[in-house]
Amino acid sequence: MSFSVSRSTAPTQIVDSALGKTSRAFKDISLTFSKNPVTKDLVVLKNEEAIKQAVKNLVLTQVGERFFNPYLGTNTTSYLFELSTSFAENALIQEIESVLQTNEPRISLSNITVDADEDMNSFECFIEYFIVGIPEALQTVDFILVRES
Amino acid sequence: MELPTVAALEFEQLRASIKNYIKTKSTFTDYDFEGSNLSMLVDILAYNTLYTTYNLNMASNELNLDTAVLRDNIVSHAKRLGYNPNSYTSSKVQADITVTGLAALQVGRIGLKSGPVLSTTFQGKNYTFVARDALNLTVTGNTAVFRDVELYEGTTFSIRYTVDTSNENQRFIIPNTYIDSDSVKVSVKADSTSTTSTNYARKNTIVGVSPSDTVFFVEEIQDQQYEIVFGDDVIGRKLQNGEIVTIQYIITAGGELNNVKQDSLKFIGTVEYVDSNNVTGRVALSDISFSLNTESSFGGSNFEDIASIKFRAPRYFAAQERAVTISDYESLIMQIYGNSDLVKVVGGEQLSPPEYGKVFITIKPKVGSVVSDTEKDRIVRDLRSFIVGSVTPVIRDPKKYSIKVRPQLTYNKNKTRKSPATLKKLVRDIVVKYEATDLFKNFGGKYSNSSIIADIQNIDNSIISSNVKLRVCVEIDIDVNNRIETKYEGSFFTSVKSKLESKYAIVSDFFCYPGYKDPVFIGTPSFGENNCEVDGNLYLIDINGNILGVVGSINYETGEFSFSVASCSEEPINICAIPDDPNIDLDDETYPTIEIVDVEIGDPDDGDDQDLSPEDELPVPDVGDATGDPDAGDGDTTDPVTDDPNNIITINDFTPESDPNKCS
Repeated sequence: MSFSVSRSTAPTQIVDSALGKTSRAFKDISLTFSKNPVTKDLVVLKNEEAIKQAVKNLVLTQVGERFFNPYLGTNTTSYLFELSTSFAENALIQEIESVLQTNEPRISLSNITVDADEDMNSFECFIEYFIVGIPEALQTVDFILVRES
Repeated sequence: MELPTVAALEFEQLRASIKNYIKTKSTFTDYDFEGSNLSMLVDILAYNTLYTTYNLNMASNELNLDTAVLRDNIVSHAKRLGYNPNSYTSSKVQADITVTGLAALQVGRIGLKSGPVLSTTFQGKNYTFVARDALNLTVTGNTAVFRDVELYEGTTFSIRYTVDTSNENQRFIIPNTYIDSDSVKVSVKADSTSTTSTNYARKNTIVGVSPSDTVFFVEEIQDQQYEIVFGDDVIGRKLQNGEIVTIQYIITAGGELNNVKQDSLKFIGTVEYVDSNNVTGRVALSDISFSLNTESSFGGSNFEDIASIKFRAPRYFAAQERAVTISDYESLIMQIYGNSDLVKVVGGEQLSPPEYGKVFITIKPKVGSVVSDTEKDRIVRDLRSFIVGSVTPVIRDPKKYSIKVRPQLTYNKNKTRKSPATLKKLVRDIVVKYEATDLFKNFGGKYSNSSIIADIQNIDNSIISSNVKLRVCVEIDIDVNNRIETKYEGSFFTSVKSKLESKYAIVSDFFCYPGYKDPVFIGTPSFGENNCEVDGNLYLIDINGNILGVVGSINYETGEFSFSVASCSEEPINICAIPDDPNIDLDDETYPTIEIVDVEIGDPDDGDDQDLSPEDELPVPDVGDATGDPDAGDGDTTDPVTDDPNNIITINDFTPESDPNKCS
């Protein structure tokens, strides 16, 4: 059996767009440290890919993991060891929402959905957001939280 | 080009510095978003840099004696200054061992084997006192005595090394922390088949060591272990390949086994004999007895701590292994006598009257109250090799000065959450902290009442008023001296009160006086029309308060006193008074201690009216363990002197005043 909880957030990106904000180009390195076959340089993540990676990083960073920044991140994995109830999903959504709104100013959250799979002891998370300054392109990040075996 | 600032030592500063650098490049843009991969890399770089700077900071601290915190490094710095930190030191006893019943065995010679001789039990553990060397005696009668045998607490161990000159890194390490480095003995034999060995001599300096001298040095190394260092054919003989080195040493409990008395020691040694027919045997334990020449074991100490090494090493270096200035003497004595807590040296020319050509040394040991005569002789003997010219060192016992404090405070319990017990503890902490200050805890220490009162007042806003009542006591070491009357002098180092509400302005502990079957004490009773006056005499008073005679005098202005008494007990006595001036400045051979009698706390709202006036009660102390003269007759107890200048007969004449202001 599985159930899901989702929460929509106000599409503030439109307001931002209305205020005339434009998104700049974002460039980040890839932690795969693989080589670009053409340029022979390090693979670079650009724009929406860079932001998507940052969103994943923020959500999957455990509180206390970052050096000298103990409040950054979420407690997502700890919910895997709690009873799968709607309370856990709601708490998970709140955590994700909080960390992204605090630390990722490049996005405007649209919707967060958490599906609990009791049989697999896992949560599937969907995060939908707009990139500030690019109103039309809804971005989606999804990942599954499972207990490490 | 402006050089970058590299002074950042905080994580945030380092991170900002790296980000500032990236900002100048257009290659990456996401560094200031916490979730970006680049931000994570910046964090790692900053963390790595922080570690490096921290390690560098700590490593550079360890390069100096003043800032180093690791013992190994401190010892290494001290070694460079020629200072070898004190190891654990065995407690010692000196004993006469008597062997009887030898005539029947027709014994010609007896020998005390080295190794365990005496044993004792302390806190459930067995300890032994060992003889470092075997002793032999030729016997002429039924009884033989091994006199003044020095026995050291500990257990003897030995370790053997075979010299391997192909191994440049070979070291001769004693694998134990608790060794008495003075006990190390080294012998070297040519090879494993050799039956003779050469005993090497321990040296602390290279002065006078020739290339062929068989000497060794003992040095503390890492992990508080000790290494034996041999010569190099320039300074002492170098070891040859294949030689067998045997290192013998004692592992000791240090200062724990000081003050072990004869009653708690048991003989466990071995005495062997050779009779007239050259037959050997072992003397039965029942024929062996021993008596200590020292009152108890003494001289044991634990290894020197870090603070002490930091303090002593530079001073020892400044002394340059010669005793010229006063500080030279002080640092050398601290090195020679590891058990020294406080050392004060005064040139004889500074005394009144001056004693030229002498240096007076006062030592307060860490364990025990005085340095034993044997240890004094050893210190003087060791010191002589450093003394320049014909200066005679004289070691004096320290004088103990007790300040008995009774802190008082009143407070408003509605203005604080602190309980009376908490306030008491805080007051005690203040007094204990004051006692540990360098200004106070030293020969010639200074005491100021106002400093403690100010600290008590600052404990909490709820404290309304505070005071510290004082009594001061000087310890006088009364000597039996064949029961001959001896003169003693002392000082309270401040003016003392002569008008008190109590019966006595000065009182001493009870002590044994020859001819009186009950103990007596020294005091100054009040007399006169209102019983509020005292004269400048010190009186001998019996247990019932009867005056037995004038024995001395006191100057209330200076606090100096002297008296002459005979005694039949060796116990020191305290002579106490109440200071008029609470600022006390001791002399160079007296060290102060503070004793907290009680802490009194009251709340005026509860009707607790603390008397915050200075101390004005000086009660006669309890008789305690003091005894009278066992040889005295019954009639000697209450013989008042007939020529009492004040014509005072009994204690009933010293009626306490009911009016508290009468004597003020």
